[in-house]
Amino acid sequence: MKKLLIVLGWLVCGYALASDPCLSLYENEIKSDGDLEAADIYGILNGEGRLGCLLGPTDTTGIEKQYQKLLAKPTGVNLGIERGLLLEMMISEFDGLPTRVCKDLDPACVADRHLGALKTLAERIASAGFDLAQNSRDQWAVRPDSYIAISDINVANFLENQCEGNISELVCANAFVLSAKVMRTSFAANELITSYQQPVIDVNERFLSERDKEWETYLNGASVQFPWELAFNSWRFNETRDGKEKFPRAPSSQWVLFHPSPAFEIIDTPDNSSAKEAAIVVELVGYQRWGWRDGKQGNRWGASAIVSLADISGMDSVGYGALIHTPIKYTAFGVIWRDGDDGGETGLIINLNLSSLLEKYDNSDLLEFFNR
Amino acid sequence: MRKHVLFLVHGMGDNVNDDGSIQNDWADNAKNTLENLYSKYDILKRVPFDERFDVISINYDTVFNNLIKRWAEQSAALKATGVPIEGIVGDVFSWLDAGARQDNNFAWTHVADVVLYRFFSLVRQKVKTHVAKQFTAGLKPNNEGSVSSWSVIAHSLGCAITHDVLHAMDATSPNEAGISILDAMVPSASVIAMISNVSKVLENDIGVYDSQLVPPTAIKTNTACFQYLNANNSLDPFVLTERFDPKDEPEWKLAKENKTFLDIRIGNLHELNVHSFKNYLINPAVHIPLFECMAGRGTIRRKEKTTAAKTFKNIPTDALLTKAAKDLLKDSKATSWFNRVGNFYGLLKIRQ
Repeated sequence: MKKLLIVLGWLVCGYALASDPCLSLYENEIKSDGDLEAADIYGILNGEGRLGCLLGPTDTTGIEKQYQKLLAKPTGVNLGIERGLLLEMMISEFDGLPTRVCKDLDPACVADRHLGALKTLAERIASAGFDLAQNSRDQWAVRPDSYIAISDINVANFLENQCEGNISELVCANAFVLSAKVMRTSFAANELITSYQQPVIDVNERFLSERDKEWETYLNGASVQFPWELAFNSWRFNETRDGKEKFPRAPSSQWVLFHPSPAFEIIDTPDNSSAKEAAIVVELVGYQRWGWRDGKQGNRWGASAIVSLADISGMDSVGYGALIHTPIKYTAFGVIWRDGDDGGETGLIINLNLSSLLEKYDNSDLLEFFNR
Repeated sequence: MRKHVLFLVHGMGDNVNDDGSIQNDWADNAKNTLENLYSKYDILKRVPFDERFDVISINYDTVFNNLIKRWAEQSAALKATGVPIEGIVGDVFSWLDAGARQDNNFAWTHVADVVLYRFFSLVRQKVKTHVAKQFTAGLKPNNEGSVSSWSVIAHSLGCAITHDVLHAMDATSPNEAGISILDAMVPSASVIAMISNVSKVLENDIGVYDSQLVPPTAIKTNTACFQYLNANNSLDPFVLTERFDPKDEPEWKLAKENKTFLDIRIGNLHELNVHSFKNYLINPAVHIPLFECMAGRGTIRRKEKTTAAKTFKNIPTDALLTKAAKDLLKDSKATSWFNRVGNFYGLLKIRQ
């Protein structure tokens, strides 16, 4: 008897449903389409509905406009007021609809469960503030199979159940509009959650930006690591990192191995003049370390044992020495000892991150560049 | 209300222009393929593709390209000193210098990407943060509101990268509230579609069967996706070694029963490159469930599904290439992943 009264109530309460903007979608796209099956109805609500009557341009419920106010990021009392108004509008979507406590996919049961979820959300926020653990986005999401966990409703099953053999009947129209209300308020809950999560989203975004900046600097800011160096330093990184960190910080040190780079050598030659020659400095082994601040490297120092290869008249082509890396524009300088026709000489090596300078000089020959 | 955000993640290969800028050819072609298939279905096409989906292309190739380019520049700078570099050292630098000229060079355009990602953890970390930033930019709330549904379609190497990045985003909580980067922004992905899924063979920091990308079941609830679609072609040499196949894992078994893990195995060869995104997508066994996951249940009619399957069977395949591919896969000498893939590219070159 009670069930019959509720069914009658649903038929009588057409006014509550008739005002829903999705009713015209049903009237225009579903009622008149003789080819449609009950299984197709959800696809239309979820597709065309999202473009218009579900928080789209033809949604006249005001919910969309209300969450737009939250997107403007009001502060203080205003924020609380706007959130409260949004929740109120979501709950009022179900005003006048009969409800019944049950687990079935019956309109009254569906309305009761979803309204109950909305009221619980409002009560929890009022009493204890917002807690994502109790109101995760996943619980309010309309999943690909149309299931909404928070109210245990499968919208497609509900529509199929109500519309099978009755597509152009009032019972199907009512189910369609009720489904629209359930989906609309679920989407709106996602927006409400955002208004609570925005500070967390901002913190998370800053974290990722900073990490990315560190890695960008590590790989591309200073002198490039050759494949064998990258392999060694990768191995070392794996050995020392905390595996729990999914986005670890970039290293604050590295080994340099058999690393050649263009350099500039100044040395006294056997003919008593001073040679200024382009050279290739090979850092046989070296170590560098630095600190990170806001994604930027600072205080980068390092030292390497080197050989210098250069074609200097009257001197050996290979010299031996040490190189110091300084934090000033990745510049390095060192001393070199080179044997010659009149005995050994000590010279100076300067490495000015030459590859970038070369690029600036249009890859012109390095010797020509130095002789200008 | 925001559209469904759809990320496309490219695979190995050249996705950077000569000037170092992002090249979107792969993503444009992938979008066209999807759009063409989409327009075949009545309920789907009632909403134009561009109005339903906000397609965002994810690019990570710039990371590899920057590195390779710098090696080449450094090698060129060494040569420019005029100091002779001979022997094996000279050979190494000539090889690095060749990295700048990647055109049609399989070793530099394809193998380098895979090797750098899989074996150089320092490069991998940069790729991960670089891609995570792109996902975040697409998923964070904007002036139209929050994202209520989103999906990822990844191809080849993109599957491994998508796996690693989304796992990290769903398992990292850099805030006092302890909320993960993904959970703070969006609900779980409607579907993470792995096309030619090489994530198992390239598995690194976290096991692909144990990560946050396991579809939700009673065993594991809070994960990064509502559905996981795995598509592998039996003729695709990229997925023959260590195929993604979590058949003995209880979570995956249950997910398969619940239809939240869609394990699609196909064997069609409709274009020269069996590994291509298009050769996978053209098969209704792949694109129909994919569209249903992204656009929601009830978007493709029962009759259309039957017709699509029948029509597809009648499309002629490249018989000669199918035979050649089968012969290649039978070749017992080509057992390692790199051998198979290299032979496959050799075959493609002969045919081209």
